[in-house]
Amino acid sequence: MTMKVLRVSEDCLTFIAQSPVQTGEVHSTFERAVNLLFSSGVLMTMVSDQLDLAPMTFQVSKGSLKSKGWHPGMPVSSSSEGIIIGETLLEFAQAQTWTPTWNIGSPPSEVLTRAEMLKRLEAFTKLLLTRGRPEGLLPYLCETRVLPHPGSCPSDMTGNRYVDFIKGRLDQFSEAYRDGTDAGESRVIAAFTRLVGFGPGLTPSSDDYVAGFMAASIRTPYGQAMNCEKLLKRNQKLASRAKGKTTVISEAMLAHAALGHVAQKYDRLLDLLCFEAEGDLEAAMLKALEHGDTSGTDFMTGAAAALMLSLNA
Amino acid sequence: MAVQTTIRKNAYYDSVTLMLITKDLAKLPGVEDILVGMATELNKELAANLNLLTPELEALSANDFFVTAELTGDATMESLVEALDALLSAKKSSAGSSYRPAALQTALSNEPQLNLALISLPGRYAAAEVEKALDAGLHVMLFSDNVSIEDEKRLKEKAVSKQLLMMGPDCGTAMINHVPLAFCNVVKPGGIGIVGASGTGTQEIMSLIDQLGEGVSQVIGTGGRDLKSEIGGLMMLQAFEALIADPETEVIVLISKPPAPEVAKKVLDLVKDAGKPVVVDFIGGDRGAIEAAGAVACISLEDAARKAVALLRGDTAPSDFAGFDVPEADIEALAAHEAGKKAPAQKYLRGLFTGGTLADEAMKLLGPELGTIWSNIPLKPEEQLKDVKVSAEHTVIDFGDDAFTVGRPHPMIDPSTRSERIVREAAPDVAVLLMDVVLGYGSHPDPAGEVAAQIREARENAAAAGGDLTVIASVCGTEGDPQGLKASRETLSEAGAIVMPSNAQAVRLSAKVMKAIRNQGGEK
Repeated sequence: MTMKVLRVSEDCLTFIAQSPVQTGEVHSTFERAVNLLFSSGVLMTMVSDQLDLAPMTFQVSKGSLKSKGWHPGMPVSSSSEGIIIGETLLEFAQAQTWTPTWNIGSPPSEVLTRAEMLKRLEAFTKLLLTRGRPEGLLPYLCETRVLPHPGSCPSDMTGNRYVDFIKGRLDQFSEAYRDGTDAGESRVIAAFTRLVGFGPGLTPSSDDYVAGFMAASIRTPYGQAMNCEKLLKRNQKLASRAKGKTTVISEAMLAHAALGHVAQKYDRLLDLLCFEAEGDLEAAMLKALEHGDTSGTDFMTGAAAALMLSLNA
Repeated sequence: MAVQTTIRKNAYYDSVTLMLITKDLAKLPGVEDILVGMATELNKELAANLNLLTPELEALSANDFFVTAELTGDATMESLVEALDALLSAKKSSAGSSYRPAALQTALSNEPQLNLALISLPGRYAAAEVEKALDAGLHVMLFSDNVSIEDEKRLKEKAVSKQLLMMGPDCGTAMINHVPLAFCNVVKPGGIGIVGASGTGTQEIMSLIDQLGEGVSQVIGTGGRDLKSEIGGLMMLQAFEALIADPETEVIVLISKPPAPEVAKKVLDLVKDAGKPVVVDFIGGDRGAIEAAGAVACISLEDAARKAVALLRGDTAPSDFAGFDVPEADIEALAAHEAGKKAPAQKYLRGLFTGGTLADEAMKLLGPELGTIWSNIPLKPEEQLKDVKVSAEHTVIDFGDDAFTVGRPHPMIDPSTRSERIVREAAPDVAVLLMDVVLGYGSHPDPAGEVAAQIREARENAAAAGGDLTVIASVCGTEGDPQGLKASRETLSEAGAIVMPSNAQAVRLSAKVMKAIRNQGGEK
């Protein structure tokens, strides 16, 4: 049986085109997504047309992916012809390519002035505090001792057991991240290893937070203690420390986020927060909130935290 | 107490599933504390911190799923695992494997026979989608609010020109050809058709019609602003004409807050040519104008239901129903009994509602007895509650108002916004708590159960302080509703509430209790 792939992320296409035959297996299956784990350690995600793209992701046509009969452990192989899962060949020949809008050295447009970025951040944070899911790390923004206070927190935004446990470590991470020295690097790595993999979900809350934090930090030039290349290296070191400490899916997410590469929805949101991009911030935020349950909120909490620190440095 | 763990190696669940399951498992008898998640080092550390770490959990890796719980009494991990598997199955079967289209066009190309779109989007994006649906020839039910009045007018004019319904914005209740939409009760099919600019008002009337033994042909919502001057009653008129022409509909009920005078005239002008009885409840509106038009006026939602049923049965419309299902003498005795238990300081009433129209009706009926009633939806602007989170004197709150629902589900779906407040409202100077419980599709699976514990606690606190709290409730629903009318009423009664057959009767009883307290020497 053959299925046509509708859209594919650029890095996924590169992997398929350039690598020799790779084998692996189906890692996990959901209604709208199937994760494929190759022996080389590369994780690729197939999503239905109801989800946006992300790094190393491709999109197939409508229908529940779970109903296709794919199951964890099923063999997968990749070659220049496409990807084979069980007896299904996924063809990429006519797929549209998605390229993230941001890449190091080539931002999507002019970076915003500090004043404008701050203005958008304030609006964004206010929206996030009223619309975001409070079950994850969002209450941290109102309880941190390190970040600037967001201005007004909803009176019912109280902590939860996850925030109560981890907020001190999030403070340590946030402080250490901005220290550009070698000692700072040691501190941030230590802080990261003490919070990676924390919280419910396939991509634990703290990982989503750090992903948002890294992706936002690398996009803004303000208040940075190091240049972009150095920041990138630091992010990659952090992401590498996640290995074995969190889920395979989250390891992959952090590795991409370290490079500033995030899901399409987050890409769009960060464009609006950091660059002269046209669009509706609230709409972009609501779309990002659809990304999992607390995942979207936790990612945006991390992004907000990073921008607060850099703009108030 | 024992901490036990169950594990699923290489099992993956999204955080939506995990959150919902944790909440449900935590409520099971014997579950003192519970933690679920992937067995990363940090989650294990959290488990240790919560005294929930076990050797089995310790041995897991980051890609393994765990449930660890502190269990007491007869609760066992086996029963917890059974409940977990049941919840996971229920989640799977409710999600199903059916295709969920990402856009209207794809939906229509897959299923061309579709003829109605129910739209629920943030308001600023809703109008565009309504336009697409109308252009595609679909009727629309627009659940969203925050749609501009200009857009509403334009879209309704388009709908009328195409002979389509555009129910909304902010339309939460409808039943078209016996298919319930959004918040709606299960009622018998029958000869009474309803057009309503009010969600819970419509639900109360349709439920009472069913309880009185009759049925409903259609329920068409119009949205709350339809009868303002700017909109001109476009959908009320469209729907009214549709029910006049509908052979299944023998009696028509129209519900709304008082319309703009010129709109009321347009609606009432149609009554003369209806050819069937029309009951009009312009809640608190001009009775004289309604009767002059040949329609039957009402003094409450229950009164509207009773009159519609009587007319359907061929009786002439009865006089206004302002009483109770039980003898008046029994009610007076009950009121006196309740008043007699109060401490001298207890002199206020607090109404905690999930239905806006029910709250509105309560304030209108209580006004003559109580005087000033503070509210977040006040009858007079000067009676606006300064802080919606803090009650004062006599207060009636609509928890479905925007102040409570930004970023949170409506209290009919998630009752916690209100139930969290119940114990707090039972302050030493409060004598009566009045509330509604709304059943039906769209509502919480057990809204009565969600308030029962808080009612008990509030009453116990009042008793411990030397007083007594009267809790009066009504259940808007039917026996056919998923939650069950009888079971819901019993749950509330067992918690110590006095359960009345309708919102109007609950409110009138509250007024009698407050009057009896006042006559004892308390103040208004």
